[in-house]
Amino acid sequence: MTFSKPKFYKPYTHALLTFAGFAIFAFVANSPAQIWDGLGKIITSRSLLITDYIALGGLGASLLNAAITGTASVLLMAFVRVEPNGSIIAAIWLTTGFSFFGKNIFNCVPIILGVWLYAKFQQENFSSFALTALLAPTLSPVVSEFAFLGRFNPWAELCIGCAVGIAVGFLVPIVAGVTTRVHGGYNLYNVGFAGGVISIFVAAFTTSAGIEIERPLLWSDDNNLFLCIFLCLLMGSLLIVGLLPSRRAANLRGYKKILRHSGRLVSDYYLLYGNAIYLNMGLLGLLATALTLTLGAPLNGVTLAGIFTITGFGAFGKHPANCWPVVLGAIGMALFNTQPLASPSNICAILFCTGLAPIAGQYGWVWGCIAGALHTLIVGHVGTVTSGFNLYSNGFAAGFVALVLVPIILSFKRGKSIRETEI
Amino acid sequence: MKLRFEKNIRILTDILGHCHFLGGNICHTDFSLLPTHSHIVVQAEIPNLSSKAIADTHRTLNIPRQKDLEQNYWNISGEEAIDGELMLAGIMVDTASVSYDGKILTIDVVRQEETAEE
Repeated sequence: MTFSKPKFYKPYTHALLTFAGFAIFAFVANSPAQIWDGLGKIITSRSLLITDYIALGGLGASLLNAAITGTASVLLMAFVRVEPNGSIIAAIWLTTGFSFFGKNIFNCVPIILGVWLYAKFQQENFSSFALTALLAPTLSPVVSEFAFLGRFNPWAELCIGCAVGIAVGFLVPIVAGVTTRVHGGYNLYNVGFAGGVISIFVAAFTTSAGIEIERPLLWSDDNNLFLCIFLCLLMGSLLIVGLLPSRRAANLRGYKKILRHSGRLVSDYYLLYGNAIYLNMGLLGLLATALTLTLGAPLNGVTLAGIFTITGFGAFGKHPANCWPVVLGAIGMALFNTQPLASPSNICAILFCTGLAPIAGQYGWVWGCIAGALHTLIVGHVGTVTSGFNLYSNGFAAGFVALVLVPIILSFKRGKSIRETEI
Repeated sequence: MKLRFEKNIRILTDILGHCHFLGGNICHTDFSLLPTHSHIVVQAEIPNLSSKAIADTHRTLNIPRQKDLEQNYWNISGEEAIDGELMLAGIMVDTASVSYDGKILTIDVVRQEETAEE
């Protein structure tokens, strides 16, 4: 990893200020002693799906954990001098969101080291793998699970956890480089799909080694008011940046153009429209928050991860026009399954199905609805084979939906040229 | 430079896909892999092309090149260039010019290639 004088581009400075705000909120929510105690619980937890850090360590500790992980992500990008773009902004927000729900500074570092080792092995600059490095900690529960297994010498377990983390981190860029062939760019959570594939092998190994994986279900539901204020202020700050008088007219024009994109990979709204992304991100974040509360689900670590992911991908593929059909389809399917609409599995599927937004953007709202419905249908089943090791399990499921659905869509369009079908 | 030919082919495919998307069914291409750079010229017969479409094409192709993320974006974009969006080509080329004479749309892009010393 070549560190030189850090370069703080404007989006990085904006993100750092945002994370400073998270830290302030943390100390408003809890006392320093409570935060310290909670942070210890978070870092030493096994972090398998579903571990809501707010339920585990408290509100203050979770917010501080998100601030630490988010700040570390931004500093990493600044020190390796990666120029900001839509995917990096999306990855920083996603990392921050999942810091309420599985990621912490301890379980991310070994995986990022693994990606760095791969870059060295390939004799390439680490900056070329910066995006993968930010997203690869989808497998961070692997590190925590082995490091805090509770069977052997604690120091030995810690070393094993780090070594396994480095190994899976090394594998992520290799696997993520080919998984896009499966979904053809229609799954925005490509690394989630790669992480799912790798975690199947990890899960199989633990089973064959006789290690029983106990899947937790930590789910808090008593912080709605505080988190609603927090999210409204956060999304409001994004809208303010997007509506600054000096660039307001250009950003509004840019936003209209964002709404016309299919969202298929690669749709980098930041490179195309600059600060107009903040309008998109703020609006998407507010809509996702309103949706969560309207469906009767609580604001907690898990739903925050979903809201942050939707917000972040407002810079890279998502916008309200390509998200609503998949969300509608997901809600429709959730109404027909045996779980309550606001159950953890349903609400996760509804929020994270937006990874399939490019299908709606490319092929229309009907296919988008079908994609969302299929996602909700299979996400629970797909998640079981990964034993909770893959945090972006919805990305894994979305990959399968795209794998099956896109060829079906194309078969219906067979014989028509691109222009006839798309214009 | 790894995968030089494949990446330039992808740029060409994206540009051809875009021309087709704009209504061009007859295209002529000039594809040169030179020692220091690659040069691609596509001329497409498109009647009645709007100035907005030309401006959008120009803006997308002139996105600053993203050398660091080029490989990553190339990997995640899939193998088809069917949506007519030029984003990937835009981040992979150094300079681009777009002109239209009322009948022929000409897209001319240059991609500087890394030499062995680099």
